[in-house]
Amino acid sequence: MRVVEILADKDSRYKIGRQVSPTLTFKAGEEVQFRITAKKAKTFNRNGSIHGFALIRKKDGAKIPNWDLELKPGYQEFVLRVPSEPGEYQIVCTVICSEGHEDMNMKVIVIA
Amino acid sequence: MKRSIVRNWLVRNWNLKSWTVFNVLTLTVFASGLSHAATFRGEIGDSSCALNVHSLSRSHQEMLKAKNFGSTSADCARHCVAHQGSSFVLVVKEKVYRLDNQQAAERWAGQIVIVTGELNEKKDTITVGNIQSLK
Repeated sequence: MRVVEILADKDSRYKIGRQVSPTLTFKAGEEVQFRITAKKAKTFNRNGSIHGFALIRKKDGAKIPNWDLELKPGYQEFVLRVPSEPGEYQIVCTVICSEGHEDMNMKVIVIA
Repeated sequence: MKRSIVRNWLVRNWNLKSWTVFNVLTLTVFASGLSHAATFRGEIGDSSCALNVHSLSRSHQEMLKAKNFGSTSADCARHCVAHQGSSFVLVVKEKVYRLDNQQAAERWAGQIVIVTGELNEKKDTITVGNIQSLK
């Protein structure tokens, strides 16, 4: 299983290594383990979530089922299945974390 | 004596069909404890704004002030759902309920409505039966 380590950072950016807002490429239908470390930005949800991690289809904004996670401070792991439909997707933050919240996203390419 | 009569009856009649009926009844009783019909009065908003720590005072206002996607709560909610991965929710005072029927909720974005449906208390989710205007 492929493993992806992500930092959901306090500056409202997803980071992988030194890349800020990187692009991820997955095979359709593959399982991926995400190891995410979340750091608090300015605001958060009442339930303590500090960032979100949701996958939406780029062409119509449709949310992909089971890809709607809320991140708590610190380290967490999730195993998710990549959509079976190839195309362009986007991981977005669903928690209003700062003024830069709307720019907290990552491009995801799903290939056949 | 009575106990042995009951035992004998059970031994003779307790088959797979009985087990099935027993299990269905047990599950029904259990499930009915988790969800029940209810009516709510609140605003249709988006999950990002509604769940935020500032939601009780000013989330929509801050978003609308900082961005250029409209001027009303409805604009904010629709924008967050269409582009930011949010979902339509029902906001009742401090409580936020998720709605199973997103298409039905979209029409009422930003409005105070009456929602009838089944509430799953464990998940704070409403299976929407009907949404209507407060008027």
